[in-house]
Parts: sequence; C-alpha cells; structure tokens
Amino acid sequence: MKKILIANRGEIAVRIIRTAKEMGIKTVAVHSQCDANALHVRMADESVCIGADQAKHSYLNMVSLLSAVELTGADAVHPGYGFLSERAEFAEIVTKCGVKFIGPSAASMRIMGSKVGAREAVAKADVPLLKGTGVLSDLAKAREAAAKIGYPVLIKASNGGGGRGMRVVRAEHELEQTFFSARSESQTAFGSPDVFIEKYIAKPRHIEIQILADSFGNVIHLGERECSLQRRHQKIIEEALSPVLSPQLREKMGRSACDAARAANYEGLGTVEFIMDEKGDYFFMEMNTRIQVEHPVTEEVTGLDLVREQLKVAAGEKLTLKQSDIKFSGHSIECRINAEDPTTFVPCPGLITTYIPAGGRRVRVDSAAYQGYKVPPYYDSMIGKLITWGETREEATQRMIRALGEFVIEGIKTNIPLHLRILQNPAFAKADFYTKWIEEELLKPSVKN
Amino acid sequence: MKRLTSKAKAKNSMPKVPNLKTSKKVSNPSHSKFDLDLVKHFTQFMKDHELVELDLSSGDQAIRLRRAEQFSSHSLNNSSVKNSTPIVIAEPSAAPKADRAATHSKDTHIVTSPFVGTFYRSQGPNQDPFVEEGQMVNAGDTVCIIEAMKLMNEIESDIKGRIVRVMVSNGTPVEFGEGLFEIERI
Repeated sequence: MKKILIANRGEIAVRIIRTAKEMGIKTVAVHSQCDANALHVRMADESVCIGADQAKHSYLNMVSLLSAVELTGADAVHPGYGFLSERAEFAEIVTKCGVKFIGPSAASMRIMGSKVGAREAVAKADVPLLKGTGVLSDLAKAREAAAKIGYPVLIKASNGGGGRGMRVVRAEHELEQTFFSARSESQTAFGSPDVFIEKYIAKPRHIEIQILADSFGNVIHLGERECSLQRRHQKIIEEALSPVLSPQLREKMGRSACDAARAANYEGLGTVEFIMDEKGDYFFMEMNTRIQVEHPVTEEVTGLDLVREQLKVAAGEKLTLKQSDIKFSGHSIECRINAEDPTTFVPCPGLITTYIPAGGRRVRVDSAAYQGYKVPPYYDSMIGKLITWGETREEATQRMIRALGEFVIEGIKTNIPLHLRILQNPAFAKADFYTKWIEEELLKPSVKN
Repeated sequence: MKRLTSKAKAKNSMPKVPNLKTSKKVSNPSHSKFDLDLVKHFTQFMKDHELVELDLSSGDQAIRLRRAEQFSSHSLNNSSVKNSTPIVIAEPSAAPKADRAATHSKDTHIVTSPFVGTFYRSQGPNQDPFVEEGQMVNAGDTVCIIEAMKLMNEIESDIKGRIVRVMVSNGTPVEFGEGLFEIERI
C-alpha cells in the first residue's frame, strides 16, 4: 500500500493519518469546503476538496470520492467510521475500481448489515441469540411471536442501527399500535418497513468484543469493551476491560465473537456487540464492520495499534498474532468530548477560542480540535476523545478526573462537566450501571431537557 | 489554494507563524522601492516602540510586519539567555478564495468546478478550446469539460461576460470549488 485516501474527517481521519505516516504510507485527505482548515487536511500529504459542506455533498458523495481516488492515484481507501464505512455498495465500487477498500468485503457487510440477516448467520454458528424472530410482516405473527418470547419485547427495525428504530412493548395490549408505528417509522428512517421482535432486557449492559481477522481465515479477539454508559443509545464513556467479566466469560465471549466473524467470512477489524442481562448471560446484538470510535481503550490495554493491524491485514499480510499472544495490562477509560451543552445536550458548534488539551503520563488525546478551529455544524458533535490508562480501574478513573479538570476548551460548550459528574458518582466506582443508567438515574427524570 | 499534487510542507501543521522570505514582493513592480524604504522605516519604528506586529494598508496594497519572538532557551549549562527577535516580513494576508475576484477592480465572477476531476479546455485533444481569454460568453455556454470517472461533464458559464482569465491549465486535476475562469460581467 503506497497511498491511502481517508474517506472521512475529524479525529478518526487524524488517527488514520498518524499511523499511515508511521508506516511510511502517503496520505490523501478529502474535505468539504468548510473543512478546508481542518486538522486532518493539514496533516495529510495531499488534500482534495470534494464538495459543499453538507455530508451528502461531500463525505457521502461517492462519485466525488472516487474521482479523488483516481486523480491522486491512491491505491487504498480507509472509510473510518460512520459516513460510508458500512455501505456495501461503496466497498464494492472501490474494489471494482481496482483500489483496496480497508475493511471487510461488501458481502460480509451485507450479511452483518441487516440485523435479521446477521442473527441468522450467527445462529448457525451457535452464537447465543436473544430470543427473537425473523422479519414479521403481519400483526398476527407478531402477536404469536411476542407471546412465545414473553413480554416485555422489543420491536426493532431490521435495517436500523446506531440505536435507532427500537420500541418497547411491555404488554400485549400495546402491541398492535407499536407494531404499525414501528413499521412506518422504519420505512421513513431506513427505507424499509421490515421489523422483527426480540426479548427485551430491562437493565442491560453493552459489552462488545474487538476482533481482528486476516484474509486467510485467521480470527482473534482483542478483549472486550464495556460501553454501558450511554445516552439515547450514544456511547459516552467506554472502558477496557469490563469490570464485570471474569477471564472465563471473556474467553467464552471472545470465542463467540470470533465464530460470528467467521460466519460472515470477515476480514479486518470488527466489533461484535453483545447485550448482557443482570445474570451475566450474553446475547448477540449486532456486528459493526468497521473500526470503532472507542478502539483506543483496547489499544491501551493490549499495547496494539489497531489501525496498523488493519492496514497490515488490508495489505494482504497474514496475522502473526495468535490468541495466546494477546495479553491485557491495566485498565483504560475513554470519554467522548462533544461540542454540546452538558445539561441540555444541545449541540454547540462554533469557534474554539482557547484550547489547552490535557496531558501527562498515560493520558491520550485523540482529537481534531485546536485553538482557532471553528467546529462546523454539519457533522456529529464529537470533537475529540480523552483516554487514560491506569494499573487499576481506580487509577485510570482518578487520572481521567484529573485530566478532565485540566482540559480547557473555551468558546464552545462541551460535555466535560457531564463526564466529571458520571465519574464521580458512586455507581461508577462500583460499576453499577446499565445502558439506561445515565438517563434513568444520573439525569433523574425530574430534569427534563 | 490547495492543489492535488503533493505539497512540500515547509511548516508545521499547527497554527501558523508566518516566516516567509523577504524575497516575496508585492506584485506591482513600481512598488519595489516602496517596500524597501518602508521596511527600513517601520523596522526601526517597531524596535523603538517595542511593537510585535504592524499591519499597514493603502488602497489595495497591504503589508504586515511581525517580530518573530523565539522561545528563550534555558540551556543546561546556563549560558546567557538570548532573546533574539528577527524582523520578518509576512506577505499580505492571503485572501480567501471567494475574495480573489475582488482584488480585480472590475466586477468579475469566478466559474468554479462543481466536481473533482480533470479540467479540459476542449472537447478532444485535437480540437479548439471552447473559449479563449478575451472571448465573450453567454450564460449557458460551455466553457470547459471536467472529466470525472471517465465521464465528460460540460461546464457552463453562469453569467454573460468576457473571459478575463483562464485559471487552470489544460489537463490539470481540479477539486470541488476550484476557480476555473474569471469572467468580467458585461
């Protein structure tokens, strides 16, 4: 691989460029007009303006991206996360142009892209699944299935993702209305009315396993990440390893994750997401066929550069790492820094007038922000990630609290105060939380947005 | 203006401290004497008044003088701290793309590329260019082709006017929003 075009922006583009540089690979940044002064553009060897500000004109503009690939002579495309990273047609078209798409094949993406398809594929591989159904097109079948699974149940959009397109049905009398409105919402949001039903877990933990696969059928796992601290299905704080997994459970889930990846003939970095109930039983939720936002915490506890591993696999190298080589050391926490009001969560783009990042021992800042940078309103509000490592979870926590306290970002509002609230809450130290904990307990219902 | 060819990165990617060579002159030759005398005068002026930065503009000429302060180096063996402050001359602040047309006193409009692709002045290699400098065009006239992914896209002028400047040479890659033609409104 001689030249990579990064089809993304923000901190992940910076992240990819950094590793590519360390490997002696040339980099091409693409940007919308408003991103002309973005950090990833400054860092790359070359840059191409690919369109107007809105994502659909630029970062989602396949024609423009492919043109930029052609003109710069890039021999590989890294899609990052979000944007086109999980669009099978993009992977396909890049490949058809004779350029390496850094990620799994379009076929693998299609298997895992449909929630129902993914369930079917992993069921065959004996990966534990929440009791659920295939696509349900009529109410009678839905009623029958829900009764069999047992209320409460969740109606989910088959083509949904990112936490969207899910509705809880607590009792039989709610089913009819929820079923039809879920179908119509799914049609509007995802272009298909296909829904299915799953058992609903009241206080779930979100545990995901990082896997790495080469193009020779070798798959290993790199441990789990605990991602239960969420708000509206968006992760806020992630950590590795999970404070509630025993080594035995880790090994078991790791094997399940590798089996899931094999079921999709997977190549590259991927994440298998599980939902865990209060008893510690885990069930496959979905697989993300891309590098994830929270990959740094896995890097910190394993000592690996995941982007490097991704590039090596994409270049056709065989995995030299064996499962027995993967060792975990210490504990790592990541806080997603968003340009938003810490209490109302209203996005807050604008000019960063002062920026003094946190620093010191075992503190890592993955960000595209800088002093004088104007955070644009067209993209997601995450402007960076603050990551700490400690010998113990307690040390990593204290370090994160210290680092958050010294991180100065002025001119815009950020959610740093929210992070401090979470980390200093006794429930955090006890790891006594679940995916709705922030919404249901920390931000008590009396505080309405 | 960013190009698609490799950039020689002479500076850090962090917020820039311009440190450009004094050989960069304002383009109008009648001002070369202006530069040197003015520089000498204001260099001294800045030293006398301990100014760090001075911005001067007159009409459509501008000059910025900045004293680049170096970090004082506290060397390990405690040699005397030198705080050298060389005077550097920065070129007039680069106008954003949209304002480049404004440097021309006439009412000009820039036709920009709506695609990422390769700029061609004519329909084919042995054919005449669609337009030449000085030529009159109407709104909707084809002025060039941008080729993207083997598709030839004809680009039209959005206004009626005279081609003042062809901004890109034939066969050059262009990015979205890049200026192609400067057209004087008629």
